[in-house]
Formats: sequence, C-alpha cells, structure tokens
Amino acid sequence: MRSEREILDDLSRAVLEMDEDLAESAANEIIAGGFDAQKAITEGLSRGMEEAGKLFEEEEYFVPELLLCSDAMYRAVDILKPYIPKKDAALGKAVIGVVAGDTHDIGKNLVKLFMEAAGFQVVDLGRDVPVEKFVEAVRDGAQYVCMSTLMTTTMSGMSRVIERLREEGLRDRVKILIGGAPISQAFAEKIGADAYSSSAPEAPSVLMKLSAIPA
Amino acid sequence: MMSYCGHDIPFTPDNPGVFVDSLNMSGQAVKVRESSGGVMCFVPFCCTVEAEAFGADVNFGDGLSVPGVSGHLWDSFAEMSEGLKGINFESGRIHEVIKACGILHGMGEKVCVEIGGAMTIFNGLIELPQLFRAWRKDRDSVKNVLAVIADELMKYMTRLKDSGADVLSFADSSASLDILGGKFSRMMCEDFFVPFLKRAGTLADDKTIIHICPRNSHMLEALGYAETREYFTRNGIHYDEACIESAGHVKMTGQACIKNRSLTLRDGIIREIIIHE
Repeated sequence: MRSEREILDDLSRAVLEMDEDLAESAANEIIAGGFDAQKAITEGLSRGMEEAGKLFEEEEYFVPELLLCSDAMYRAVDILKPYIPKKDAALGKAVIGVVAGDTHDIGKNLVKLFMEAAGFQVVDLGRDVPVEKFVEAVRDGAQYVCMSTLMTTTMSGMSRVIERLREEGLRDRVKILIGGAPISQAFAEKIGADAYSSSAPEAPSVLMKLSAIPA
Repeated sequence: MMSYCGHDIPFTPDNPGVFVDSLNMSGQAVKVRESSGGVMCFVPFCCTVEAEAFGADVNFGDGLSVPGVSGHLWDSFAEMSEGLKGINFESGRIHEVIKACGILHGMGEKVCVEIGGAMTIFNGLIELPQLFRAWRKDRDSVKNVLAVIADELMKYMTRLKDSGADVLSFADSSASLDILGGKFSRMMCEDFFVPFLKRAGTLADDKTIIHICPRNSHMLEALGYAETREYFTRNGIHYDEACIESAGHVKMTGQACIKNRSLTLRDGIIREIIIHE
C-alpha cells in the first residue's frame, strides 16, 4: 500500500497534468486507505491547482488547460466530498455569477474553482443572472459578491446590482469583486465595487486582502 | 432601444424584429450606415445566427444587452458529434439574414455580412470544457465536427455571395492566441481555420472580398500558417472603404476590425492574408 504523501502527490500531479483518470484512482485510493479526504483536497488537489494557476500567470497554461485541470480536480472532488464532514467553509460565503445578458462563463467558473480551492464557500448563480438573484443571495447571507462579464455591452449590469444592493440597504454587508475581459480597476472604482481582479487565480487573494484574512 | 456598436437600434423583448426579420434588419442596417457615415451596411445585429441555425436556443434578452444563448444543446461532445446536422437555409433567422443581404444589395447598398466561426458556434451548443477535453483525447472526432461546421459555413457564405454580399466578414474572436494559448491555437488553425479559410478564399472575386477578424488573422500569421502581401489603395482611405476597393485585387484581409470606421490608412496599404499550403 502506498503512503498518504505519495497519493497526495498523485492528486496534485493529476490536476496539473489534466489527468482525470489519475485523479479518480488517487481519490479512490484515499478513501480505500482511510486517509483524510479534506487533506486530499487541500494538500493534493489544491496544490495542483495552485501550480496550474502559476503556469497560467506565466503564460505556459491558457484557458483550455485551466479548464481541463479543473475537470480533473472536480472528478476527484466528487469522490472525496461525501467523506468530508459538513461545515461552513472557513473563509466565508461568496456568491458568484455572470451578469444578465452574458452567457460567457469560463472565467467565472475558473474564479469559482480557485475560490473553493482557497477555502471559500461559493454559491454559483450561473450565467445571464438577473440583478435580483444577486440581491436575494446577499439577503441569504453571502458575504462576498463576485460578478463577471466578457462583453462591454453587459458591463452596466454590474452597476445595476450595486445600485439595487444600495437601494435595499444591503451594500455595506458585502464586499464586491468584479472581473472579466473589458473590466478594469478604474471601472470598478467608477461603479463602486470594492475590488477588481485581473485574473482567476488572484481572485481569492484579492478578497482575502479586502477582508484582512491572512493568506 | 438597445445599443449596437455605439448606435441605438429599436428593440423590445416582445418585438425583436431587428434580429429576426429581413425587412427590419435591412432597414436598420441602412440607418446605422447613414448615422455612422460608413460605406457599407452590416448584418446581422448579433453573433448567434449560426449557432441558432445549428440548433441553439437564443435569448434576445431584455434590450440592455445583446442576444445570447440560453443553456447548451448538448451535454457532451459525443452527443454533439452524433446530433450535429446540416443547416436549413430556407427558414429561420439565417434565411432572413440571406434575404436582408439581398434586399440591401437590391437597394444599391454595399453589404458586409458577419459570419461567426467555430468557437462562437460551439459556445452556443456545448460547454467549452467538453470541446477541449475531446480535442485533447480524440482529435479526430473534433476534426469531423469542425468539417461539418466548415461545410455549412461555406454553403452559407456562398448563398450570401449569391445574394450580393460585398464583404464576407468571418470572425471568431474567442479563438485567439491569448485565450487558447499555443497548443489549442495550433489545433484550431490546423483543424479549422487553415482548411476552411482556403476554401472561403475561393469565394473572393472582383465584387466580393473575405475579411477575417484581426484576432484570428494575427494568430494565423504569428503561428506561421499565413503571411501577408501589401496592396496599395490610396493614402488616407478609411479601412472599410479600402476593403471594398481591394476586391478583385485582394482575396482576404483582416488587419483591423471591419467596424472600426474611425480607422484611416495613412499609407493606404491593405494587407492581403495568404494562407500557406
């Protein structure tokens, strides 16, 4: 029987090398060996995803590679999840979605992935999300709102969400992060968002800085 | 009203005429051309026509944003491979675009029809990770689907040319080097762009020119699948005019966005894109 460390390394490698089959077999080995499923995610899969994120920032990996890494990660997560004791994610609850009128969700899915890997509980509202759904999610206790869009034509949807949160007296309850190809720091400041993230891997650290959570 | 490239176009969710009806579409295209001061009319007003013709469910939105697809038609690439059928050009919005092109040509307008590429079409039919996974593991299956898409786009472009299109403007903006990276960009070039654009080039003649989105043309050139040849028009010419005037001398070009009316070519040079054998 292999050591826990060897299996964790395989989980990390499976994600980095986009190998879903290896991810599945290593996750099954964790369960069969009675090892800690939570640790398998944080010290195995997340480590692989962090490495993938670094390669993305270094322009070694691009969007397709990150999506395939995330496929491998979720293949293992699906196996490990039932063995993880239910508890609130340590870093808080975030709601994420692509604003109304836009269905491009690759970036949003990557941000979700990196946030979950970092320890946020992420409620995914999907794409083409109406303003009111974001507002409801904040009423339901989300501490962070993350919005993305790929198109200039739908950027204004972000400011509508912020306006509605203000109207409902909910704005001060949440930190708001925005991102997407046409978005910039200047746009974030203009519409009153708390922060802008220029890439998916940096999104969790941006939120952690906003809330003074130690990295 | 909704905004389209800086122009207000009439639209309400219960009256999406400008997207669905050739008379509305062509009439509005003339208004946009007049207000922009450009030399040609552009149709259609969204980039979902081709995906819808392959079966995608299009949502015209609330007037605040451009149309997009609602969900995906297939859950896996295997389902798509089996289910993808040819386009019926005799009905639906794609038929209306062809008609709009004919109406505009009949009015004596110069017509540019925008045609979406494979990634734009995939995005309306399937979750893109499904595509990338299949491409990595079973490249031939993706090549086969791309061949179907290429065949149908060629039929579409041929009909548009027969209806009087002056510029057949091919764009697949998400299929660019900065998004796909080197590996998948090469596969996109080899499995789709190069064979498809070689065929598309055969539609060019003294009346019709093929335009390629600069994100795609730059990728082809950067990766060594194409080169450019310079053709002089006249100094200070607007880019859209230069494209029209180059027909007959240049088969394919794509050095800037065709809708960038403010762009003038100080040196008057249009760069023809020549796809390598």
